[in-house]
Amino acid sequence: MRRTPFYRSVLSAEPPRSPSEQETDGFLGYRRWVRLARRFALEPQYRRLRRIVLVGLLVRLLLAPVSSWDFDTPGFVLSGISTVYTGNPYASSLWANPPLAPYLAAPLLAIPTLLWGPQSLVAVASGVAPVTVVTGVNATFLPSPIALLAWKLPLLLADLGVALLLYLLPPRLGLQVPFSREGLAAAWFLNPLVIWSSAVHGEVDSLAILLVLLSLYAVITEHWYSAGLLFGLGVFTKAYPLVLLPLLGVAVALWPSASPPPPRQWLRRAGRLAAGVAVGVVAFLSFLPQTFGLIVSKATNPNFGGMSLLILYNRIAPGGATGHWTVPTYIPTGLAVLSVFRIMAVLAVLLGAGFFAWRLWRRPSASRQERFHWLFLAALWAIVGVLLSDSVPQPENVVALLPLMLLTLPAPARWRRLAPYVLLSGAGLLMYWAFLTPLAMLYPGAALAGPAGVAWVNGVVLAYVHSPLLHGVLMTCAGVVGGAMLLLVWAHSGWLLLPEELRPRRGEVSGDRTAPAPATPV
Amino acid sequence: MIGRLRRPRLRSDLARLATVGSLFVVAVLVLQSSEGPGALASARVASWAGLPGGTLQVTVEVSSHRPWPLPIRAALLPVVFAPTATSVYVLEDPNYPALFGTTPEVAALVSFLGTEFQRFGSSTTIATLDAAQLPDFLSGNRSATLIVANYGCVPSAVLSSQNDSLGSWIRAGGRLVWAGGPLGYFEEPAASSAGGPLPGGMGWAGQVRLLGFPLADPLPVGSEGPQSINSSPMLGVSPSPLAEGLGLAYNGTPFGANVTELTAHGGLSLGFESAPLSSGAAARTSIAYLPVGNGSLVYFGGAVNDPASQYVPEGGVRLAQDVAVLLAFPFTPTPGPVDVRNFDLGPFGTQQVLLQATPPVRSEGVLVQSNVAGAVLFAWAQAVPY
Repeated sequence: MRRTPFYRSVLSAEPPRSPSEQETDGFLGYRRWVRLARRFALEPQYRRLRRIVLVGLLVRLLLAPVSSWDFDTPGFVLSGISTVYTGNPYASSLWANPPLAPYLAAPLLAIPTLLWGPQSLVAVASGVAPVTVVTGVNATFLPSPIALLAWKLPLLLADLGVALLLYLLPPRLGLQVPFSREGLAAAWFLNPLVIWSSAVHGEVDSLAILLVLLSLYAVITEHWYSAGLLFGLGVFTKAYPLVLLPLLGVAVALWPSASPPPPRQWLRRAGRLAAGVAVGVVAFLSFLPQTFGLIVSKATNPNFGGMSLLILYNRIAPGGATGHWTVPTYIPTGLAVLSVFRIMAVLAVLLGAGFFAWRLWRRPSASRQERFHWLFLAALWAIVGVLLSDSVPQPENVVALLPLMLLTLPAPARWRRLAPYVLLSGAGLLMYWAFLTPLAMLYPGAALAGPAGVAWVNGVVLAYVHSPLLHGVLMTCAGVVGGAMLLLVWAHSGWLLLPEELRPRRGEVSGDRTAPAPATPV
Repeated sequence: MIGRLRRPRLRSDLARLATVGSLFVVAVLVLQSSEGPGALASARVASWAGLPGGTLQVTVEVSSHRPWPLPIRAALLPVVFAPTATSVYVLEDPNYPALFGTTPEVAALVSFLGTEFQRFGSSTTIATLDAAQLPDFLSGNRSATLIVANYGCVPSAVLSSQNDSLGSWIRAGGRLVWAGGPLGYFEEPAASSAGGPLPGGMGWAGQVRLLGFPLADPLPVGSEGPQSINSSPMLGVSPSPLAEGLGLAYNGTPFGANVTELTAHGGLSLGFESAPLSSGAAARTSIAYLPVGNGSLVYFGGAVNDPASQYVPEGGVRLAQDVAVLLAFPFTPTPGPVDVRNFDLGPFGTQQVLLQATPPVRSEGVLVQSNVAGAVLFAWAQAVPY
């Protein structure tokens, strides 16, 4: 019997299609996309979702053209322009991620490049120099609004894609979640940290986690080519999805098949997964050294940051800030401490895959919902371990955890279950705002208002910079809260993933999911 | 009917995905094929003529190979081309204190230079060495280029009150590119733990030991100290003619060369000059070129930051870009006028531009660059074939 293609399984009609819609879908289902979009846009049952999407998109579209952060965002735009001209996002030496995102933005950046030339996309705003000289943060390069929008548009769409997945997946997979699916979508789409990451900073984390979620869904629905393709593209967006490779290996070997397994099923699966990955590898073959170098440099970086309990001092704090605080503020990390967190990360990756394999092997009769839950938990545990060991505080990376935290939230509904999610998001946002105040993100908008606008923002920022105690307190709060929440998520998800047979005490564990929920067939 | 509904137009969705995947791969590979020398644009000297009075006219033809507008800067420069390319060595040592930037930035500089040299079609080679290797390096490699960026100090084995191997090497024909702090201010043993207190050294006497005169102005006597070694404005504001001709961007001047002292000793300002100081002292330049014996010094007025935690905006990026332009082609600047033309080439366009100057000596070269939003994506240089 012909299996449902992956794109159809994502877009499967909800509710069932009317007879008038029973026609061929067109190439890759574009007609199905159109029908689904029309349904979401017009039918009353999706009213709440529409409101969430409209509010979220409106906020993003207002922020995206007038905001940027530090030299990151200008660097992203410049790397996109480099890609337009040379096909190499690393030509400007300002891109420090794998190469997919600049290629997605390049067609959008090519339009204004063709119409107005590349010099219209980035300008030097010398008025920002006083803040840069004192702080080392922010940049005198400011992308134009059209350039900012061109870079960020794929990321905003990725945000929307994750929101729609959070809306569609729980009923389809039978996952018990404590809130309505509109609530899940809103928790993600209206999360200020998510909005910051995509619409302000221009980081590609939501694109990476979208590809990861689709890849995991493809594993669940046994679309191995698609799983490999999406996984490969995820790695070429941000390197961290690579830590899910052991998990994918376990799924290839042990994921129960819906139909009677053919001989050497694992070999067929592995081959199809590899074929899907090969598409991305072949396309970006010339950038494999850079991608590999990024992964190695992150893993061996002697610096330690992350959002850990050790963030009491930040090397790139504005001059005169915590460095001049009267109490000792710098705790040397040292190789021993660094090794602890790096070991925790490796444990999470390997043991997570191992626990997942144990559960699949020892409980072949487990419900589908339980298996889905273990898969998402294992992915969550692997990624949070990597974040704990990161070399610098990168709150935008926390975005990768948020959908997985939402999908693994236990029922019944208790608002306190959402506390780690809220606190982690808040700490991440606070860490950015504590650098130079939220106003510093609005330099592109201020530049549109002229030198007076830039000068006004400078005044506020410099006044804050010259308040070292306030800066130090905020950074410390962000680090302590963020680090504590990361540790809590790491410990809790690891505990939930640990097989019952291996736990110190048997019996029902608070928060464990033992009762499968009624599911909508995939 | 249900059977017909289940059958897609194409026989297999796998075939559809394979088609889309192949198109994606092909599109990416085609875009990547625009890398490499000559892929973005090409240039040539179409004609030249010497006019009465010593004026030189050069017609340069530039062609774009891209479907997008390409900004072009063409310049006629007073430069002398060496017969062969040089070898560039970069001091890169994670165990050595980087006082004016970071060691990862040095590693990024090395990687960037290698990429840029390749992009420009340059035959300049690049390698790294650590602090312990410097003494042996200086005993040979007389015509090489040594970059000391971000560190702001060198081992006392090559420069101290008792040792001037570095100076001897420069005078014998070496080229030193120094970025970060006053020249020779700090010295440190070859292997030292980074992150400690500022090392000692000859202080402001170091540059005099090396060059014979104070290139950067020391502070007034009595106000020495690591927190106050800034003696200059932080940024230059006025590009020199050679800065405009070479398309240079680094404008940090916290330790910038005194323009008056520089030119009095036969040097040239290549960078951005600050305003004269309120004390009446001369302006500083962000990039200075100074012939020293048979060799030369390229001195940047800063690097990324200074020990007082002040930063040059985009210092690392601009420094790397300028070093790439200065070292990719085997020319050295000489005094003389500069003629610069900026224009945009249309998609796949070709344009000729007339450059004209009256050089005091028979030394001219043409430099054509395309600076796209701050990144030099194309550069070509050639001596005018007199």
